[in-house]
Amino acid sequence: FPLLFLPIELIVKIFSFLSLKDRLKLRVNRQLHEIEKDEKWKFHELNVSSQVGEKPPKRKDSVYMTLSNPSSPEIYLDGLKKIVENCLFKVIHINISNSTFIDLFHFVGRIKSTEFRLWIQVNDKDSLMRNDLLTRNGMEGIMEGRSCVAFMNPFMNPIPSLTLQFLIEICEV
Amino acid sequence: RIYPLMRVTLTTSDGASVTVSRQLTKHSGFIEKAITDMAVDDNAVPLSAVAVDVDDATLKLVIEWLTEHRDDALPYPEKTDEERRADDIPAWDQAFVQKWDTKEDQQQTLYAVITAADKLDIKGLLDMTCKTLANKINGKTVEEMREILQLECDFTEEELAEIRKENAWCEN
Repeated sequence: FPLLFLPIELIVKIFSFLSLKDRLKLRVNRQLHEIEKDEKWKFHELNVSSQVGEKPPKRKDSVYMTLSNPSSPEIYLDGLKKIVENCLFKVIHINISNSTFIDLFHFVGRIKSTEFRLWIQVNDKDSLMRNDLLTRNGMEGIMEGRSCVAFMNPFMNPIPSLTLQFLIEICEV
Repeated sequence: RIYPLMRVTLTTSDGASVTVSRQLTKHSGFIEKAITDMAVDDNAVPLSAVAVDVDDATLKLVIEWLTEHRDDALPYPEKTDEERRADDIPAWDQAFVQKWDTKEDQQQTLYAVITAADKLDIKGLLDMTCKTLANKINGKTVEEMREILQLECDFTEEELAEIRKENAWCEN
């Protein structure tokens, strides 16, 4: 009695209790791949971080992508392209300081969500201005149509003066 | 209205008949609808039979679960996609499913109860059994998943390469 004898809606229900990683891996044959292809999976948060040592408290309904391999940034971009096809997020939290991931940064910025949190890994305005992840076009694209909060290392609390609007102003300097 | 003293006789696909209290069957959307459609009143012994496409062995397991959960609140609380989790199966339910490990084919029993819960529209049992199967898959490698689900890989090399590319970030 293999799984595929069940009606599709039951298979989808069973899979709905799995994490995104498990659902991606579950495409173990062509029929399951087809079933999963058209599904839209809803998650609370997409958390993309280049901080390997960072251990955020993990939520069951969120997706965590740790960019632990800077020599192969393309594997994360390929993964995100697939994620974007199938997922909807309320919150996107991005914590990237390494310009190796600049394509990823701009790609994540284009993913739809109602809220966007950007955590900039710099400690002062000068280094912020040197951060080549930030461009005016990129930041405006990120901000469009949703609420945004920026954070600055080393404090996790949002800093009122460090809004994305402020970052755009810095980009203009 | 639910009349707890009312008895309902269920006839299984293999010809057996089981009579149970309405207190149990109220958790089955299918049986409740059948009773409603037959427009029974409170004094009658209403049903000689509600035919269900479930075998006797599976129905016994369903009734065992319903007996334990007879006082569960109705309607069954629906969860949103974001609230879904598989690590909240009650201890009694976990022990109930573990007992099937002694059966010849535990997974076959699980599939049979999932199908029965779906046909009888017993939301709590359906959720619990789906979570149990999801927990068997949770965190496994692709090969282990194939083995658990008894599925053969029928991808071409190109299709496999594409999937591996998309999954590379989460393979370890």
